[in-house]
Amino acid sequence: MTDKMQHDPAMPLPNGSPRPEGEFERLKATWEPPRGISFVTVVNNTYVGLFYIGTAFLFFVLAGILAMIMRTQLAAPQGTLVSQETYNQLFTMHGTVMMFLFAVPAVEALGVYLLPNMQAARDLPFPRLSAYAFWAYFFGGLAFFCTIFVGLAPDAGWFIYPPLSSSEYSPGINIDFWLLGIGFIEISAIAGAIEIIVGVLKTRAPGMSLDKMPVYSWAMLVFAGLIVFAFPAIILGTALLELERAFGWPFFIAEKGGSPLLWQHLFWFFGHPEVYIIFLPAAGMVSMIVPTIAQAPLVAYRLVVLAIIATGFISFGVWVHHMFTTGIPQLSLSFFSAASMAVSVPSGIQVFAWIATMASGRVRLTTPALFIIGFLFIFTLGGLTGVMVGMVPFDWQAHDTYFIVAHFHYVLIGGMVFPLFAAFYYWIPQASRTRLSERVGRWVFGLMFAGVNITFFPMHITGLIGMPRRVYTYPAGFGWDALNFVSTLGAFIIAAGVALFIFDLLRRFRAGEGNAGNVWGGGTLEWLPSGNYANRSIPRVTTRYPLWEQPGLADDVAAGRFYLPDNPTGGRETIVTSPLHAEPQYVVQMPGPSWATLLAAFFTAAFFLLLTVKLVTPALACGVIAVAMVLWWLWDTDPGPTHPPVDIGGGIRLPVYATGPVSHAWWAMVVLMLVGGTLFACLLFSYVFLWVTNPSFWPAADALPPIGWPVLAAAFYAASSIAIATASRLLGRGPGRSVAAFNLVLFAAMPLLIAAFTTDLWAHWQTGLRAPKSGYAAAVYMIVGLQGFYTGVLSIMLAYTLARSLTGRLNAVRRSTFDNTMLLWHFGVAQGLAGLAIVTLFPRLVGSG
Amino acid sequence: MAPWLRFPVKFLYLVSGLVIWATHFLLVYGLNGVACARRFSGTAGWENDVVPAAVLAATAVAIVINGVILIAAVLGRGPGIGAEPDASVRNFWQVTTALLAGLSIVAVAWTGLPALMIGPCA
Repeated sequence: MTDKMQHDPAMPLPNGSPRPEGEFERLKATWEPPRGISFVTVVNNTYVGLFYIGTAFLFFVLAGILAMIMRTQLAAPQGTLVSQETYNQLFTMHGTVMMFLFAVPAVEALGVYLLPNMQAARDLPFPRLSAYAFWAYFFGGLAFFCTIFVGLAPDAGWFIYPPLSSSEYSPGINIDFWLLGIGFIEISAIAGAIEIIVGVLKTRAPGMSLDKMPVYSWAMLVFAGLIVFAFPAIILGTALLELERAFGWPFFIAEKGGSPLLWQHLFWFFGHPEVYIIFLPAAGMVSMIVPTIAQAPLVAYRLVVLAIIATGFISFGVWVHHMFTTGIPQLSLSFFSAASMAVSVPSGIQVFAWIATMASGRVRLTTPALFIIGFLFIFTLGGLTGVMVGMVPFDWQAHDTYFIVAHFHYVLIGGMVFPLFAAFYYWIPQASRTRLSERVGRWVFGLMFAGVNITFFPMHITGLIGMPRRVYTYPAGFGWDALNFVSTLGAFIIAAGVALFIFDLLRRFRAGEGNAGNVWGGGTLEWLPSGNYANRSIPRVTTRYPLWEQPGLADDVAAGRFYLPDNPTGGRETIVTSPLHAEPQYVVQMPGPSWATLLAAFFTAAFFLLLTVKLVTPALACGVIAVAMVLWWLWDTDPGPTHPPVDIGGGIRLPVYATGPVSHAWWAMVVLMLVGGTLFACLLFSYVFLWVTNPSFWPAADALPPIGWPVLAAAFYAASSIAIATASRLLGRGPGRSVAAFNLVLFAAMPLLIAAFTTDLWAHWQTGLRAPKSGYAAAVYMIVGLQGFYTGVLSIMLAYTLARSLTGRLNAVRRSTFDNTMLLWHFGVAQGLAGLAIVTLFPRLVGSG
Repeated sequence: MAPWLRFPVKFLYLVSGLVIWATHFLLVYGLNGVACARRFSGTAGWENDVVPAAVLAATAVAIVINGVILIAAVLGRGPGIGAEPDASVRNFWQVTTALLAGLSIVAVAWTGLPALMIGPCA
């Protein structure tokens, strides 16, 4: 039914007009944000997206101010503006804030704002999750930044390498602020990534098959995938380092069987994809803006999509190019050097596609166009020096000099900041009733373009003549004086450009109902007439540029002639579509504003920050409250089939509830499992890595727990999974005596899982193995501890599921909560069994070191 | 094939070239790292013969597999491609799968080539 509907553009419109009286008013009222103090509980992507972007920009300005202080300090030799200690905090916070509090949140924020508009969805599928991600970042980020005012900011560089960051050499709590303070940002980023992946795959306009999907959606899909596979490495790394600092588990202490190099592997396995996490969304933005400024479709759409996917993959093969000077064998370095060259191929493809698109149309030199041209120039230069430092012999010379500072600022400012400013100028008319000034915009561009080149180009030379990074001052007479002065001058020119942008923004940006309209003549769906409810009706898409190639589309959408022009269930809804062809599958009932989301975010941030200052009891209390708030917010998000199937137009009737693989919640759980699986893989890598580097700490077979213990633990794991599977069958039988049996069997799964974990833990404990003794012991207890974490989470989920069953909110049809718990349960059990197998068999296979 | 499996299987096929690249990359890096760190039970020099040969063999195998994927995609073979009813989706899938496999051949070859020139544990 739906296939034919999508591929036949000649079909009549799904709904007639005029629409029934009061329909539009009801739709509008449903999506209205709350008023008064409750406004902070708003979850609409248009508001949360703007809060998010605004906060990220605030951090850009704050981190920029830190940079200005550093540049002033370095303007002349023997500068005395700040002390060495303060300077260490300044460069650490500048890098950390720019990367974690500005760059990633900014591109994620723009995704939250733009994706539903670009895909003609009414919102992203988990609006409360977006709000939670934002508020956790907001509260935690501001508190984290404030550490600079009290001398508690981290001070070991944004990558905080041990042993410098170990408790021995950094005994204060500055490093803990980095390790735990980054925790909520990681949670926020992963929450956003789940939202974006499910949003891109499951909430596109009918007919928007993958080959018609905007490049921006492709870029955000790969971006979110990178977060899913890269962030677990840093989550694990920060957890290991914090455990070492707090409890003496020696993961990174060589003399106890750890390895400081392990930190570098974990950090850069996250850190280099991080560059593409920032760049790919920017590439997506550029791919949307360039066709509009040229008024021509993007040249080589398929090649650009290919380049985005390839970049995402290959970015995971370059992490060691940050470690060329650590003594890794040269052949290994060559593998990474080759991957560093290979990743430049897809980047080149994109650059040529954008240039070709501009050449194929008539470029109007508006402010967004200027920023795009500036991006091409600066990013290409950064890419070229990237190829230089990707070559091992050159990197050995340039490593830790200002040449590297110049290189990555060209890449990051060119590859992310300029596209972001282009995006601001391009999409502000979509969010504001007034566009920004073109005249001022040209000045902003001119100042920023000149400033960036004046600041960072001389740094190439400063670096080549030997100036090292991260020095708070330098003596006169090395030939660095004039170059540093010019760099400082350039930094102030950039600041002037940013200040002018803020001035124009404050003068002209007016958010709220209505916008400036399609001022650039864009061809994609975000330029449809829209309001808090997104579009009046959800269009059928037959091309990549619907507003250019589907005549009358905007009028038909605004008149409610397409799908779902009303809200038949009386609440917030959008259409969930299939991932490949975007066939309508069901209408999802979406949750509205909630205090629970805001409070959950606040207490999550409080948990991490209180833990940092060693207030363990209040921290645990906040953690418990945060979990309770999450459960409160979830309580009304599995409403079940409250309504019979609804007519969305065109003779299509859709159910209003789904569970299992069709459901958006199921997809979110699968993505979460990918995060968990990656984290576990990183942990196994760490375990094996410590064996490779420090085998003498590995025990002989007779020092290991007798084989009976892991066998018993495995039996408990298997039994708990069997209990869950049995409960699933009982739930499917419907009401009657099987409900009591379901509750009983479901409950039985919990003690079985707990028994599996405690058996595993006891098996190691009774051999006398203690985590602080060696890297091996710490790694073993980390594997067991991770399983303990899963046991805790799954127990809470099971108790929650049981509570829903006992209150009549779970049955054979309304079972999404149970299905998701079951999915994660089986995953947790599989991981537990894998952990048991590795810890039991690996030392027996390799023998004592 | 179950309906919900269509997308994951098709997507995996689309990126199969890159999956081969990643597998090859991890294999050769892991092998070289372990060989140099552990010297295979202390037999010094053994890795100088075995590692380059293993890297080149893995490279050849990865290139052949990617070549097969490339040809299959060009011919319209592979999970779901032939049965795809929408011509534009089919074409998109075919071309992208083939080009990703082609790019992966280049990346795999670049990764493997240093084994001809550089000693494994230098």
